[in-house]
Amino acid sequence: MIFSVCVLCAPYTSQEAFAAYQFVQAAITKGHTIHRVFFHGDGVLNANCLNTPPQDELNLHTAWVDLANTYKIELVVCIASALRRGIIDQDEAQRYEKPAYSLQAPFILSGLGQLIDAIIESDRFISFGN
Amino acid sequence: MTYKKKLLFICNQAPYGSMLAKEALDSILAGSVFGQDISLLFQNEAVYQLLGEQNPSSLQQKSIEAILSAFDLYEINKIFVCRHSLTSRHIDPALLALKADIVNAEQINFLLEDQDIVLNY
Repeated sequence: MIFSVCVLCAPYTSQEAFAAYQFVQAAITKGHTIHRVFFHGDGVLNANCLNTPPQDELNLHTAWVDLANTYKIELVVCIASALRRGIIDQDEAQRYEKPAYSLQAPFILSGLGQLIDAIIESDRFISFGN
Repeated sequence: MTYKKKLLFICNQAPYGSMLAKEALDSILAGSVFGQDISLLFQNEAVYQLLGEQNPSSLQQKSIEAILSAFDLYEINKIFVCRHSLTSRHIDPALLALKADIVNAEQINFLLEDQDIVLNY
């Protein structure tokens, strides 16, 4: 079955951010396909590559990156939600003349069309974090 | 793409307490642009989004009411409001600024059963 997932909550604020990750991992283990993970609202904060939790705690950002690279999962971040919250890639940092960027591959910035496309292309769509 | 999916967006958020209320509306408009069969259900605190004469300028926020008024242009007209959420907050349905069907729990069950996808905001 083809799944897509939407993450609406911030890491470390809500356990559901990790639950989304665990769901994706479990779906892959069971042989399902993950078409896309879409990060919306506060969920975009999961894409922050500057997150630096203590070394003996889970680094959810790194976990997503490893999962995406291993299984070729699309991690798409809502650009409107992201820019508001300081989640910007190198191009946007240059465009807005910011001193740093906080988002890099495999996370990508895109529009809400990618959320609707994920819904259309998937058999099941699950949101986490509300 | 031949088949339109039936998408139900459930709005639960109060209008200005969090950005998620507005972000939900953005995704609703995106769903409409992609030609999907859209229904909306306002329940819990989100019923406050539907009240008229909103003026959030002192909060430095844009009016949710203005976004809702665009629904007509986007041909989003299947709008439902939870009766229990209104009565428990003593909101008179006559105060709603948007044309909507007021539904009870049983009707909400039917509405949910009828969908391909439910997005809960």
